[in-house]
Amino acid sequence: MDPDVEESRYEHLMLTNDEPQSLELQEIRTIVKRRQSSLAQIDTQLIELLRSVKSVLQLRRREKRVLSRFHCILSPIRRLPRELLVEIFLFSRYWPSETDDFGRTAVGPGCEFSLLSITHVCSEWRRVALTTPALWATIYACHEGYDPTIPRSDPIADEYLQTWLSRSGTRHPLDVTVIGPPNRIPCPISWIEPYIHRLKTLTLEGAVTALPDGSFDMLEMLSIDDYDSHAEVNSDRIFFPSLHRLVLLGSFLSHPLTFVALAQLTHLSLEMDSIFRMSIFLEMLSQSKALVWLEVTLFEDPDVGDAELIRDDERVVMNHLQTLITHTPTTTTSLLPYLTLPALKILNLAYDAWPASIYNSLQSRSSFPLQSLTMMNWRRDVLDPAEFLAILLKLPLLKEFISRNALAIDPTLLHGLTSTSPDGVPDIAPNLEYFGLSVDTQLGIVVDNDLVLEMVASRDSSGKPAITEPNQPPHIRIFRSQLPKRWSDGKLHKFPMKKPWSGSTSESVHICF
Amino acid sequence: MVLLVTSDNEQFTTEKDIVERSVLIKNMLEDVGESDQPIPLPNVSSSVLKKVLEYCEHHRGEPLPTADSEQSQDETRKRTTDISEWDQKFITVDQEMLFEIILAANYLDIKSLLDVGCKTVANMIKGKTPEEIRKLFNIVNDFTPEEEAQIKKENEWAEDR
Repeated sequence: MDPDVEESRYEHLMLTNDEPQSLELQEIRTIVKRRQSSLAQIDTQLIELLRSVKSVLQLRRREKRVLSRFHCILSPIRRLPRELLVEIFLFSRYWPSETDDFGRTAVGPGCEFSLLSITHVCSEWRRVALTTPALWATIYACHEGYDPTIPRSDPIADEYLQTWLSRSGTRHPLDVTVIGPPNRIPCPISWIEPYIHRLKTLTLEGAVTALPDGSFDMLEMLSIDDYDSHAEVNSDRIFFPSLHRLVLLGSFLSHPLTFVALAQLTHLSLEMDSIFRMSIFLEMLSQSKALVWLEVTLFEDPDVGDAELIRDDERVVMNHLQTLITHTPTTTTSLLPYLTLPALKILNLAYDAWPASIYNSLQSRSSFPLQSLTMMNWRRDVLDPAEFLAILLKLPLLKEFISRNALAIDPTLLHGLTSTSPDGVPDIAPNLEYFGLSVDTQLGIVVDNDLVLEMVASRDSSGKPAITEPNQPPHIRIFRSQLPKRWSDGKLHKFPMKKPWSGSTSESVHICF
Repeated sequence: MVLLVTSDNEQFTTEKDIVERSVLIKNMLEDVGESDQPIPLPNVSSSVLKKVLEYCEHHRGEPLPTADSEQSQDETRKRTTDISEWDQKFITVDQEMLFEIILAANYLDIKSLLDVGCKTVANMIKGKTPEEIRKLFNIVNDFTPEEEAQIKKENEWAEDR
């Protein structure tokens, strides 16, 4: 019987709790038996079907696995020869942040975990990576937690460091950074002894023991951030025949450096809390005849005389110096009066009141071919635009000007920079390519974009209108000519958005001519 | 004009200053002198050469790296993986084409294009775990048990730091 008909026949019993009659009871028992048998048949079919599905799924998985293995064979990366794999690996390392203005000749970037990732991919990649010393030539030995009472904190017991060193081969130059503990217990650095002839750069941070004796044949850059502990380096037993770049940080410079031949230095960066007498530093500079880069940070006034009374024979003429950076107002006011810099191209000055007479005097006795000027004002009062334009007038070769709170963009400044010549040849700073300013927004000197655009267009010999770069973050404005002499995001100066001591915001204005 | 013939026998006629971004072709042209003879490129297919020529045309007129500059760069250059906007769009292709471009740039000796390709692959690798790298490039984990043991140890070092 049709199941639906069967159901409808007994619906009166299905929808109620009435007792079935005896005849109905028998018939219903028969129906139940039949239905049970039917259900069993369906279950059997279902088990069969599930078994088939399982088997097909297994087949699918197997097929997928085989397919994936064949895909692997077709993988295009397999076709790369070893030398291209090496190129890719060299690019895949992480470089530390941009701190290379000093002109380090770093051998490689920071040691990052990604290198280990490369060696953990497959046998071939591991083989290639482990036989490429350049990949392992940067050694970052961080032993901040060194404790002489814990033997495993000794660098000699550092398996990671030793493995890294062994992978760097036997000849490749090394770029080594050692970080000792911040306290005064120096971490031993005797482990570098077998490698001193291969060191190309060496950076010592924190407390570390004295440099091992010997000749650092290849060492081009040495950076010591705790000079006071190394001031007694024995120049009879330690030699740096190739050293050109020296970075010293410390608290007190009491006598000229003797452990390095100053005459061979091209780059010197000195950050000292104090120098006992300026004459010590000047003596060092007078010996550093090959310097092209000088970066100085002094926090306390050294013993200097009256700038107005300095005689010419007391001054140091640095014939090759191209870059001078002073990071504190003290450095600017105490050092600049003693220097004559006829080759200076890049000047970064920190000040808290524009040292007009010191700068003008330096400029007039040096007649430098300045191409880049950065003013870092530590206070909030900006320079009078007329005074600034007078400075620019004497710098016909200037290509770049950067102001950190030194200047505000106001109509007088824009008017001064505007070219009046019909052919677009600017009257003032004709070679200017970039003008970057960071101005405290609380100063409130914000001019209309149109005025800036007019000024930029007036200096463009193509006669085309200038444009504003769209989609910039808040507090950043970028103006440029249509075909600027230089243009890329990387070339724009990166200003800090907030002054740490005030918490106020700054607006950055970038102008590319 | 220069006539190039690809591995799949397709012919490309292109201007000399475009194609001379390839040091290989530049040297070939210098060797044979003025000639109408086609230059065979048996290692480059037409689809890849089309992309390579697109790159060379965009960068025509830019200075070619000299041997000296390359050498000094190798010592001091920071191997950053920055790629210009145009190059980035240009190299946004499937993996097969990406590696073909790298191989072609290597064969044709176009250093800047080779760098763009290698930087792109390096950027794909950066920040990924070995397993993710394997999956991305269809690489088989074929380490021996000894290598596996060493890798395990290295991972422990990394965790300790």
